[in-house]
Amino acid sequence: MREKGLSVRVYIIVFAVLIGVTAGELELINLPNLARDFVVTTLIGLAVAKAALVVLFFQELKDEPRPLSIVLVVAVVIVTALLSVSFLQLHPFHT
Amino acid sequence: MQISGQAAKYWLYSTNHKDVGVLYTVTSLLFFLIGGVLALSMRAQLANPTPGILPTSTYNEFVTMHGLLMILWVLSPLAIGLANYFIPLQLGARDLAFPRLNALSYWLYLFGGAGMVLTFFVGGGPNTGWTLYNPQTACSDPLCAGAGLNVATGALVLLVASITLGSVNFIVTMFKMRAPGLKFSHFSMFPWAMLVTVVIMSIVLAIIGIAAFMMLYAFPSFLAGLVLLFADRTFPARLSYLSSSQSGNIPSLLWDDVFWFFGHPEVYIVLFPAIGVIGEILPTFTRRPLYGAKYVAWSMIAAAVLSFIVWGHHMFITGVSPLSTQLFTITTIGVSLPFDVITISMIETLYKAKIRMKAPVLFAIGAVALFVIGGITGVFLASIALDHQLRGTYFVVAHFHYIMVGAGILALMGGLYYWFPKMTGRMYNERIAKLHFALSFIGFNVLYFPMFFLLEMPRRIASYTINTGWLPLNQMATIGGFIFGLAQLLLFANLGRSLRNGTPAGPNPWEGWTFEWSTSSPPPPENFGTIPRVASDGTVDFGSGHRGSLATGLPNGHGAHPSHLSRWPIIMALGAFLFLLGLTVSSPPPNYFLLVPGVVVGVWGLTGYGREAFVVPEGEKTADWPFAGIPRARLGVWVFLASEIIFFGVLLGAYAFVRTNAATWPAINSLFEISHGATNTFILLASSLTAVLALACARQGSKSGLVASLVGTFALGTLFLYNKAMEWQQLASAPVSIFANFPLPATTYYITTGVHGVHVFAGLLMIGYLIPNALKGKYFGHGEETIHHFGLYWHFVDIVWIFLFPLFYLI
Repeated sequence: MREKGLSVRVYIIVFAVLIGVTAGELELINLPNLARDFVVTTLIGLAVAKAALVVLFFQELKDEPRPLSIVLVVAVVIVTALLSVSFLQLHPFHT
Repeated sequence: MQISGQAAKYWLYSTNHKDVGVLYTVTSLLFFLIGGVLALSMRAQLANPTPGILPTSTYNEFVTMHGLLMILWVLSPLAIGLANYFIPLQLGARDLAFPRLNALSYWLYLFGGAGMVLTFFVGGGPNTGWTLYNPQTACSDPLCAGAGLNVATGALVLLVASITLGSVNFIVTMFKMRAPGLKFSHFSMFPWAMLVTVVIMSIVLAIIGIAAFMMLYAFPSFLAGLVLLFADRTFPARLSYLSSSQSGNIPSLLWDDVFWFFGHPEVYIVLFPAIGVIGEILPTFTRRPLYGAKYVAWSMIAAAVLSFIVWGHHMFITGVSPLSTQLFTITTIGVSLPFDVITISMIETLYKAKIRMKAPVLFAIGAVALFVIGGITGVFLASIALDHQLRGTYFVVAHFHYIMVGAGILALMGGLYYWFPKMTGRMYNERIAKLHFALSFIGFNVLYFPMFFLLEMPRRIASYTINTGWLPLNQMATIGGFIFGLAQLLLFANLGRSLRNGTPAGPNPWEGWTFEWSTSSPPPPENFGTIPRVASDGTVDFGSGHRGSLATGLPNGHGAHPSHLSRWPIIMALGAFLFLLGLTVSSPPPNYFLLVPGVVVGVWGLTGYGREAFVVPEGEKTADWPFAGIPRARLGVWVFLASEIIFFGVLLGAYAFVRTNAATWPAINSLFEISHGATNTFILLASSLTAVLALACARQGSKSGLVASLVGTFALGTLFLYNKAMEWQQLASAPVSIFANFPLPATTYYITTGVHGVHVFAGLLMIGYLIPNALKGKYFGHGEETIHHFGLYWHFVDIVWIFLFPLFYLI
């Protein structure tokens, strides 16, 4: 029997955190007097954090060679750049 | 090449990279003929100012089809054909990393092309221009009549699927299957160029990786756009991403962004292989290394990166923010700098060289000369002021044809002549080849140079008035067009005749330095008897104690080898073709006589593909920096997921783009109930846990645990889809029609969650395949990798939902 990857305990802890964060998301939108921009930013930030947990622990990217992360990060950067510039193009329509 | 009584079966089933390369090359030349006939028809029409030969509607179809075929089914595939044949040879590998996937790529490409040509016979070809701009593609009636464009959209989906699979294959091959000791710094120019190109169509790693991933990163954006277009035209009464009249010009800008984010890198995807071919030919025929080869490689990487931030210069006149136009002016001028370095390198290589004036080098020199003209005129278009005057005129037509045809096609034809002796073992006729070059070069310039002076003539018009003064220049261009077109017949005649009657070429007729010249012509199925090893001083160990430079002979690979034949790639591609045809060819869709056979054939092919014991030689020592330790297939899955990031990123971006610019949007929990989204979130997160537990059980050798975890994942995935279906049904049958009253929220929701649902369904199919094998005790030891691959995919699908949940239900 080989010992590879993470232990089942770690997987369960990560799962519990994911469930907890999701519950937090549901609570967040019911909190009174929060600015919408804050809520939106926080929810997207939490989604990024949850995705990072899945990538690093369930997909075990943290144990893969670093260049592999670069391949994926570049894809994320490209999409982010596309979206950022696309919104920048629309700036005049709001003024 | 094998010619026998079983020839048809052989060519239909072969997965050998050389055979697939030949298929790509021949098929792309056939599409080149079709595209050429369309072009000559248009030139014949424009030699007369009034409609005569072609009615305006037919002209519009021809101009659209010419663009789509030439760019997507000729230029890139011709390069991919050469890459298929020669990249493994130049790497010292026996084949590409995934031979059956390579064959599947080809058949998807072929069926996609067949579907594109078929559009002429099912209601008329697309007539929107190759850019498929909105609102030209918007439906004008509730049934979205005009099946041609619908079928064309399906054909493009097949092409993008083909290119994505091909990109993954090339990237993994280059990173995992290099001959021992072969570093990237040892690469000749063609592998470098293809690495950069593959990344554009899909993207890359570290510095070198960035380049190779262009194809990987660009095409998924196009696929996302096609999904929007596909949905608009297939379900026009319900889904209206691009056709909605509720959001002004937002749909048009959305399409422009998505299309050109793919479209401009595509120019370099087409161009880089041509540069790579030139970089192979010039050193061989000048007998000197490419001047500043290292800087050429770095320049290609720089151009690849910059190519992703220049797309906005195609949108200068759309009314976008002045700030963004200034930004794109800077980046567009900036992208010319790496190409300056590349051009100077090529000129310096030729300077005072004793050039052997054979046909390949003539084509290469011609391509460089025409590239200079095309490049300089492109810089004009980076200027906002000039672009406002020149956009949509024949100046632009001349500019991009100098790049795409002058540099691209001519260089690739040089590559065809250069490698023809290696592919066939026969020499072509040199005199006819030189005549082909002379007529092509003269015809090309007579065709396109006059267009630089048609500064006021709009593109895509079939007629004009005589007092415009455009007639003489158009007539000159038409004469040039026919010279250029007819010259290409010399290529077909020459190569066709030489295939049987050419003089034997021998292994290295050009005294080339790269690996492919060291094996026989044509190479044996396995390329090399023993994988060569490259020493740090550049010498090569060929095995059996034989050692020499790259130019000396290698023992060939004749002898025992596994079968390269598999019938499943063509069957899978046929199923996909019939399925997409069934979805698009009828108004209203679907056509069940095509759809059902498509599903049956596709599932049959997929099942056979999964069950087939296909031997992919592995285990020989290879250079695999920087991915040592990652098995070949796992790297392939990760690279594929990188393209999926772009695909879903663009889909989510399109949603955000539409939503933030929509006049109104339903309040939280009023249309999409949070309870539905939250329930499905918990279900999918739980399925990720069971999926990772399946991997843990496989590693621990627990058969019962593995089966239970897979069954659990399957059950949770099914429950997710069931909940989603119930939610869909509930929304669709609500008393207040979501489609009539909330068209944009409905469209974004159904398309985005629908595409995600398709991914979940695909995952369930995988589990359905895994469970029976797990029951048989597979997936232990090395077999656990299969469970790992499935997990990577399943967790990615989970991650997508992690973003969909807040975006659709909580914000």
